[in-house]
Amino acid sequence: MVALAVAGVLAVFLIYTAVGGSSTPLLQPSNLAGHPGTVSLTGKVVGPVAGEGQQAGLRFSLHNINGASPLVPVVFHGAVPDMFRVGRDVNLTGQLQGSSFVATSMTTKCPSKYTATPGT
Amino acid sequence: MADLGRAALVVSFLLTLYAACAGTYGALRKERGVADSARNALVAAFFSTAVAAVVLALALVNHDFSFAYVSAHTSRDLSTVYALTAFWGGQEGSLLLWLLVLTGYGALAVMLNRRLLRDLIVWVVPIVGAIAAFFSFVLVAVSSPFVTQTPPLDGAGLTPSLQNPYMVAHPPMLYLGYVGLTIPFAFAAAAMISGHTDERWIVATRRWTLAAWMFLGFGQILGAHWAYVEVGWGGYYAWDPVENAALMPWLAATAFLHSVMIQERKGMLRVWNMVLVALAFELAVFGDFLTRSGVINSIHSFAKSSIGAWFLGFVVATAVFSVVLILWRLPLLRARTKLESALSREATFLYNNLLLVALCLTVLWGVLFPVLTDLFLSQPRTMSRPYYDFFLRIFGLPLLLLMGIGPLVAWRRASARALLRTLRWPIAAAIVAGAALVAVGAGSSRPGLIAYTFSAFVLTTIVVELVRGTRATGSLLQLVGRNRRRYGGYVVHAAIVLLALGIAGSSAYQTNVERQLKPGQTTKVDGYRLTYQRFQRTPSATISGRQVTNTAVLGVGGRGHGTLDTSLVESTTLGPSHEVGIQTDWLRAQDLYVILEQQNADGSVLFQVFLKPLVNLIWIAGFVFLGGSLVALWPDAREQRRLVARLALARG
Repeated sequence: MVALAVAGVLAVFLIYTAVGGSSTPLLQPSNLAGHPGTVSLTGKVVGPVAGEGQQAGLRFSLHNINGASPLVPVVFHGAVPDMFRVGRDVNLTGQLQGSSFVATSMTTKCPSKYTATPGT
Repeated sequence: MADLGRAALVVSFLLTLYAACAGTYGALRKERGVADSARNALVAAFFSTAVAAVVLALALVNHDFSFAYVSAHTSRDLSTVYALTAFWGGQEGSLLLWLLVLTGYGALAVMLNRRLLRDLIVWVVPIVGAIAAFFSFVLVAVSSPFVTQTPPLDGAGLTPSLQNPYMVAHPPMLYLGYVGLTIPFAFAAAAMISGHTDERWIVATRRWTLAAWMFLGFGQILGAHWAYVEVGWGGYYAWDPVENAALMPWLAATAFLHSVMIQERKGMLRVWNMVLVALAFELAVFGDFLTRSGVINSIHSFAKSSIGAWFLGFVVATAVFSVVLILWRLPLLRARTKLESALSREATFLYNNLLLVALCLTVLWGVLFPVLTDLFLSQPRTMSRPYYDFFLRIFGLPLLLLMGIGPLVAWRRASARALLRTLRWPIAAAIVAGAALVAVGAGSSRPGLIAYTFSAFVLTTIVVELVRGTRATGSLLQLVGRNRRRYGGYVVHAAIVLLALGIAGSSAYQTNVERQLKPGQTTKVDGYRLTYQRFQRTPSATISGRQVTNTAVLGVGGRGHGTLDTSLVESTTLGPSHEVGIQTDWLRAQDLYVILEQQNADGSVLFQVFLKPLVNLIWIAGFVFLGGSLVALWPDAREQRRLVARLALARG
């Protein structure tokens, strides 16, 4: 019975991966280079922030949350989430196009962690 | 004052350590006096922890910024209520709350059961003592809420989105739930150590598990509603690791609550129940670890968190402890009876359990995926929303269906024909509902249609059961009063159906459009007529900075009426935040939900407009769930008598 159940769950997993629902790489600015396709990019927002979320896009740069890293220019199209500002940790989903990262979704670090200033 | 708090925590640590060590000694040597003094130490630890909690609460209310914790989480302009909520706003305070609830629960459970379950209590005391000793050690040595400093002029303040009535109730509710799962775990472990693995531990802790599960469940609904009205992205659950942290132990506890019924009745699933109760406890501790350590949100800052390694060690140690105990007592946990048929009450409960655990473990897999891939592959990867949505459908929809079938199947062996006869009305209702829904166009989403149809099926089974029972007893109240557990369960099932309807309606059938409007312009969205009337700009200054509230006023016509405000708040210190505009149509349980996305230089404004059918059923489900749980929780004299009878049986 239990063996059957385990087999069933494994089968569902296999179907899921076969159907193509899969994971995306989780990267930071320091290891973004050389990853074509959709990835998830986490980093700290570096100014200046220019433009708007719609039309031409919101432009800013991204830096590793900890330690040294190259600055990745970001163009974001979409709704700018609450609490977005310079110095905040954000998570972007998008693709590297040329030298800049074109993001289609952005979330700021979850406020339910209660920390008023991230990193302290 | 801080010294008093610190001293109280040291006392708590020593008392809980004593409860653990002396308790073990007293239980092993069967020395009653030692065991009793260990028990009293555990009770005393609650009072010393309460002293520490009062010190912190007073410091928060008095804005005593010489406490580093107070200045890090509050500011002068914060009202008393929100200053107090900062108690669970940070790591140190929430650990203290954890210890307070743990020692409180522990003391109460031990005192209430000291007569009928004496043979178990001697072991419950050292187990709860050891767990509490871990938390008080962390509070004393690693992460103290009583660190002092030269007081700054003002504190850092509390994030505005947390200054919300929901944040007064939601976190403590979750803590009552998380910590509550320690009690059944401690009793289960005590049953195994003492070798008294009869069903008394289950009978004695049923209400504890139920209460913990109720708090955890209701707390999550409150959190979802907070996200919906306050965070302003148009949803209520994002499969965020911090949200999943509460969902996983709830799922494990749900499975446990069902499978213990089979053990009580049939003496089956005894190993399984031990595994489940340990799993629920581990997931609760892991959930706290997840919320507090930030290990998932930024996987590279793992070492930065001061308590991360301690918690991980604790989770591993208690998991090893549970596994060793279960393996050691395997011969004692052998089932008295076997599953006789794949179509029986026992079997459907087993399917329910397998599905719940499968769902729980797939969520866990998704949560751990970034960490595991970081450890074992060159590149960390993350699971996104489609992964969770897929498994919610695959495991959740059969669960929904089983909820209708399970309570109506006969014990031991059911015939398919008899079952079909019992279910003829529910099946008919499901078919009619399905056909009607296809006719009105709900066929656009297959999972949505299945969820609706299954819901109709389950609701009808509940109604049929209530009608049948009322006919037999003559009164609905009497019926429920006679078997609170069963009928409370039905009410909870009804709540889950409402939840399923709400989730299916608001996700599978929602409308989401963006509209750019100039003042005076009108747009139509699904029967609603929205006119952008005017714009208000209200600057204000707080101690911590300046902020501007930009509010757009929309006139609502068609299905709705009146006006709707939606704002974008720009703060110099905290960045932008949205205040969504919501208008509820209670007849359809539907929300018109508008976000002010952006103001443009030409005076036009970009709005994001959602229509969310049935979303309000989710919040209603929360209250129905609470009501049903309370019915099942209500003290029952017969249950106490059963416990006494079982004690007599155990003594032989």
